[in-house]
Amino acid sequence: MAGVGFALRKLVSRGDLPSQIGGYLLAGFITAGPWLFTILALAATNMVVAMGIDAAQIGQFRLILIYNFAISLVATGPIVIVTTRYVADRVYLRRFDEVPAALWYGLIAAWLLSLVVALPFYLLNPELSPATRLAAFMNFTLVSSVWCSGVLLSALRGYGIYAVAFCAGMALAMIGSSALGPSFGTAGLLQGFNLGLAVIVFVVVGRSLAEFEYPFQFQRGFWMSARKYWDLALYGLFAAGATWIDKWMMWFAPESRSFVVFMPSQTNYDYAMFLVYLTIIPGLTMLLVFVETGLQECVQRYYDVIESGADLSTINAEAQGINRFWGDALRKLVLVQGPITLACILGASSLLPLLGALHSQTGIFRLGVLGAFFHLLILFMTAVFIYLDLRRIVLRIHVALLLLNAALTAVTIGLGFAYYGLGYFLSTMVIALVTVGVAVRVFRQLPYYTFMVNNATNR
Amino acid sequence: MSHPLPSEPSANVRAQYETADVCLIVEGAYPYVAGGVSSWIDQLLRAHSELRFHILALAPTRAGIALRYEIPGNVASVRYVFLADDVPGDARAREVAALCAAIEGPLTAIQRGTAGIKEMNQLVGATATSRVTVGRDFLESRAIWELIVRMYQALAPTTSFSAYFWSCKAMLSALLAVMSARLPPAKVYHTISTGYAGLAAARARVEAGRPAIVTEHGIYANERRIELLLADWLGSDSEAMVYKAGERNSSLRDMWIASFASYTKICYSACDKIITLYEGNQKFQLRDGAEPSKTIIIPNGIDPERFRSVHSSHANSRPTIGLIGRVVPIKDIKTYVRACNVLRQSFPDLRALVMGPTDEDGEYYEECVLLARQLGCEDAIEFTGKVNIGDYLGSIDVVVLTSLSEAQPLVVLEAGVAEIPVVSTDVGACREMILGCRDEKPRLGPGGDITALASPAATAAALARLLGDAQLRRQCGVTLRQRVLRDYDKKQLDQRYRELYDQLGAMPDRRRIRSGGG
Repeated sequence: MAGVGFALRKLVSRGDLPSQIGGYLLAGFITAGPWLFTILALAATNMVVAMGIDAAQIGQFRLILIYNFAISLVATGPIVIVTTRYVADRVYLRRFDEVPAALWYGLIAAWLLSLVVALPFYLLNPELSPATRLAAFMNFTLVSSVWCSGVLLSALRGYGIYAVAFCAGMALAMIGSSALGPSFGTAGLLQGFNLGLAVIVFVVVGRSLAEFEYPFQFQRGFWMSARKYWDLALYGLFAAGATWIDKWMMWFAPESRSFVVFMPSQTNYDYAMFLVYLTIIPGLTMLLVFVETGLQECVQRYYDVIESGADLSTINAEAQGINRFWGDALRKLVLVQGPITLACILGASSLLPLLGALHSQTGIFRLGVLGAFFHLLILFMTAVFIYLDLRRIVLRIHVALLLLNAALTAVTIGLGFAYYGLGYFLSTMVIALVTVGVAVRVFRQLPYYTFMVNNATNR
Repeated sequence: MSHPLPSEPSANVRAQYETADVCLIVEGAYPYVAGGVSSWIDQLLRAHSELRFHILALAPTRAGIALRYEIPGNVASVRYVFLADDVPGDARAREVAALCAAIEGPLTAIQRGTAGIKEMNQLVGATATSRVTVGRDFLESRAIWELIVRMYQALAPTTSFSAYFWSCKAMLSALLAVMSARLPPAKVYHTISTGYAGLAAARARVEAGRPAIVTEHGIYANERRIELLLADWLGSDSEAMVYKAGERNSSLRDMWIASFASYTKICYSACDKIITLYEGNQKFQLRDGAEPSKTIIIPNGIDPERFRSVHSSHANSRPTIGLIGRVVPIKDIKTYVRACNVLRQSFPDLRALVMGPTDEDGEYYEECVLLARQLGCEDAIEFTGKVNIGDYLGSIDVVVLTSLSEAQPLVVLEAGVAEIPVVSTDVGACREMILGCRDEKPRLGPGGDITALASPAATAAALARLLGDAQLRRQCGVTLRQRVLRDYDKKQLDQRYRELYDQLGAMPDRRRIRSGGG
């Protein structure tokens, strides 16, 4: 009989609430994890016992590592984010057999990327020895693989494995580098490090596949999902890019030098920034913990309440719960990281020489520490937005950060060495304040965003 | 919001603007769904080949729309309105807010179940002057969010917000699709159901000032009520928090039922004539607010030339009865089988036919066969599958219907034309066709018998009476044919519609609200 009134219900009855976040826990891990890893890995290289190794070779080694970590992070950002989101969706739908494909697609994509990006880059580098070129290319591939291998572990929340793999891998890396370095120079240092990276990749992938014992099947659905999450992919790109853009620009500043042809760097800035990021390890760790424990439960409860047919006042109450939670967590973060940051600023001139830094790097260090503090706040609030699937907002924030950071850094390059670091600091501070404003607005009206705005992005 | 699909007779643009004699407004049927109502419309179009028609077809979305009927040449255009279409739309904040403010009143009345033609006037006023192109932009705006929240708090504050939100959004989408579609110009607007199609007709009446009529096959509101009661996505009523009595809905079901009741009231108030196929339906229309003076019955007709030459031509063959229908639960074949079993005691050489496709519900068919076998009458019962009725009518003594639900089954008319009496359950129009209306003048007498539902004994008793008395059988057959020729002659019934169209089409424009004004 005629009457479409009810065909409509098939289309819109439950709507499309993003309760797919069931397994969607990448916010903290994806943002803070790689950052932590980069810092700690580079720190580990400092501990390589440099007996009989030419300083220039260690310099080459570190330079290649920095380049590889930076570029691979940005290049694989989209891959990691999209595959993780895909896995989270599959887990939520309980379609576990479709999960392993994501891991393999991610890895294959990473390897292809490496072939296209790293191979020509190193192959055509006239200064590096063939062995070094090979080692550098392998290193890039392995670092990319590390970024992409954790996809399934995120779904499993198997951070224990990651930590174990990381420690074992880094230990092996240091041993390997120390062992091979004297005999084989830069190539040896790299290959030793690669050994450690390989261990991480194998342990993580192996454990992941052991948990998801399903055979690999081609998933055409994967590519369609990938297209759906283009805004997430862009976010991955811009978030990583925003973190590195000021360093990259500094590599082309007047004071930069090329230890290796085609690979400029600025030791002052780089080393100072490296130390800067050491100072926010506490904050990064807190971010990870906050996201993985409280936030996910909080948001999950909010969605559960909606799905189970609660009335609006109950929904609003839960939304306020989320509001309170992230407000509390932010306060705690500031209370912990704030004093550390402050202490580093005030004690910079005493601290830096102890860490092997030059006095000239103090200015950069101080500004960098402040910048990193605000950058951490941005990461923190972004994590909450990602959990609420407000992808466009997150994307816009990071695009803004990237552009502002680039613009202000360019200005400081023009102004001279004394101003270096100001670009990073000012851009992160401004964006952090903007983000707080956005957060306040969003959380006052969270159900609106959940029902209306999210539906728009979920189409 | 309304787009003609490619494969149509008049892809030429001009035809869309021609003022047709009749605009048919159809929801969920012609021309993209095959079925009883669609076939009726197809026949209507062909029967009035000298009139020009526009078709306004309401559908949920574009997906899966394909023409299931060949559009006849007197159809100037077929236009679709998609009730849940996904288009970007074009909406500026201030205009959106204005439109929301204007529709809040009528929408609230609709959800309360108190809406009438006044609300349609308001809706026409709101949308005719609005510059908003309804689409995603509009439906996902802040203003709409606030509207939905306000209405929720006024109407159903203790129900599931998520369910209310999506329901309301769907309703808004459909309502605004109807209100903003381009109405094809016609002298008369004929809607084939209430619901959203009914709203479109009411809109035409108010906005274009042209008369509207409605022909109901099933009763839309009843069908939606049943669907709603069965819909598990609304939750069970026990879960919905019971609210204190008042104007607030105690559950979402209430809200939907009330909304459909409002659509019906609006349609009935706007239409000049409220038509249905049989009396049984008419009483629902009257209950739902149809003004008695507007209600008329125009049943489906049959061409009396069919089966004309079919006469019971068997003198000494076995007593034969036939059930013409699909082997599905709603036809209650099992009661028929049981009745045959009872009947066999009096008529040991009984032959019972089941003439209809058996593949629609394979499991049910197997159960029927098994039942026949268990009762020991499988040699009397014959499932013929889908056949040409004309081949069999000559050898059937009585046609049987044991259905649990029917509207106006054609088989009764076909049996009548062939002078074969019918024994049927008391569903739909069967009583009127077989025994005549309550106020039939002159009384013709019975053309068979009417029994209770799901009662093999009653069916068997009625059949026994007819099978055992050739004179009675002949008399009933003749009476039925008389009634069919007098009251169910297709040409006469088509003519009644034609008269309606002519009479209403000649009326001058009434009360008009201009669209597209500043």
